[in-house]
Amino acid sequence: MSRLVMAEFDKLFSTRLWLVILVACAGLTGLYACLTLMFADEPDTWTPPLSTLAGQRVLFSVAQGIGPLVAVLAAIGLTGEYRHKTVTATFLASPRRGRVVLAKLIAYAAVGAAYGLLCAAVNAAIALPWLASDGVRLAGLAGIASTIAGVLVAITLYGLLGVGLGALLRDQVATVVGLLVYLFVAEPILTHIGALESWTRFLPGPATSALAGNALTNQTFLPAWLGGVVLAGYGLGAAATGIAFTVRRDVT
Amino acid sequence: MVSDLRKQFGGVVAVDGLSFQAEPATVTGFLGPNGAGKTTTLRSLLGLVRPDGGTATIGGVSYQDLPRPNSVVGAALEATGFHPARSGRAHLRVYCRVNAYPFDRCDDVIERVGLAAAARRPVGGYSLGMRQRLALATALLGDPRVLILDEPANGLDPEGIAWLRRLLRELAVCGTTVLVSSHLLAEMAQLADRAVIIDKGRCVWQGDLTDLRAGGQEVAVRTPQPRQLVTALRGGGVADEAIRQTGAGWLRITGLNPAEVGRAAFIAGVELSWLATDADRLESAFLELTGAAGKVTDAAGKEEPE
Repeated sequence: MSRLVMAEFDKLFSTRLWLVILVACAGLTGLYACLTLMFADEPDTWTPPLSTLAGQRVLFSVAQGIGPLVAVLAAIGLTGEYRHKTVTATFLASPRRGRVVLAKLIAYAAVGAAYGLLCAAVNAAIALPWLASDGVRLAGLAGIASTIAGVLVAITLYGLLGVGLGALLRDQVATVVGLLVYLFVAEPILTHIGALESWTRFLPGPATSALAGNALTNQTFLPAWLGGVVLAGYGLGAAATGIAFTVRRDVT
Repeated sequence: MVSDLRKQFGGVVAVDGLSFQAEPATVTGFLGPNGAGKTTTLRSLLGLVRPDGGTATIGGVSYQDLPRPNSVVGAALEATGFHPARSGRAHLRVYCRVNAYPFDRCDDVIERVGLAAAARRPVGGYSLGMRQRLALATALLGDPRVLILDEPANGLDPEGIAWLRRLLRELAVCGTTVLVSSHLLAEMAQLADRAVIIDKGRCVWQGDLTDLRAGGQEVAVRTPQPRQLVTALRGGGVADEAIRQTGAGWLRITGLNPAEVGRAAFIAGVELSWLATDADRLESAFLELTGAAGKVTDAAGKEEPE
């Protein structure tokens, strides 16, 4: 199994996509951090004041926004095999296809954790000096640390989500477009319908916020642990369904 | 070894009760027109396609049950299975990694297929022939004793085909079982010792290519006076069944060379407007086998004891 996982890293690092996505992740984190710092204390935002722990936890959790990009990278890692037909050689080398999907789950969880770590660092590198120059003191290190830990877990789980969805759909365009449209368009609309909140709490985005321990003034979230279980459930559920139904189909 | 293999795709029968066997130390050609079921058969052998019925095994074991499949069977199925942005060497490295082969193997097989100059360039810039060589390199990575190649000569220039023939010959001499498909008989005639010819998912002929080629040389003749020529040839001792009339003024004569036919015509004062050997006896045999349905069943009945 470790050889299969290493082979996934070989595949990932032998093209440049990983770097493009990494730069995009760092850029997106920086952008979100700056926007939060600039506008969080405006009167009509849903973010708690940055002088409070709740506000600072939101600030230190903006790196969670790279989750969709990590999911896209992971989805391309799986669906690219079908798109470029490398899946033939992959399944010839490892005819037990479930193991291939499992190796990708492990590899892209690790990639998610690494990207998360880097972006959490970018997040902190912008937030800490900015707060200091505004004369704002950190309101609670333990709370902020648990937020960062939650963000890392969430981004790791987005790696699973991308692989799982890719295994389920196999088609690269459908998977990537579906992921982006859902996470950036459909879900934000759904989660702002207050009447649906008892349901939408279980969607990936709110589950991510739950993991990060966010408290927005207009939304309530699941307990952090349950958010993690829900998010992992989406990725692993999609992967298991994919292994059982789509991945075993004929490769022609 | 394929036994009674059957496979349909959405109601279209691709393989219909096919049985054959490829032997060690032999290059077996797997031949048939486009759409005859060659690729489906090879993919069933490799566990990529699940057959509806019958079995396809390698040394009696199905591909999925081989503990280290790349070290037993090398396969090159298509020259398209590469990420365009990945270099040829990086592609090979992935499969070295999966199988825990030393990375030196990459350079060995790159050298063997003659891709050294291009190995570090992205595959997107490779010609079809170079991709064929890379696919072959991937197949050779595990030094397998069975080699399965789907249309490997596609996109190779004549020099490349000659190279491929030498390579397959070398491997066969060392005991490798080589199964190689093609839809072009001329190509196969250069590469293979034995052939399995299929059409519409069924085997229509299998045996040594030399047997198919046998049946003597044929000479095609066109003349405005066919009757006189037939009389002259018979007078010269040519048997009735060696002369066939194939069209108005066209005759085919077996057992004589063009010089003998021309001499007989000259002596009888018969004018000839065409005189040629039928260069590709093999091609016409192939076309007969995969052509009209009646002939197909005849040939299959005679030549398929297994």
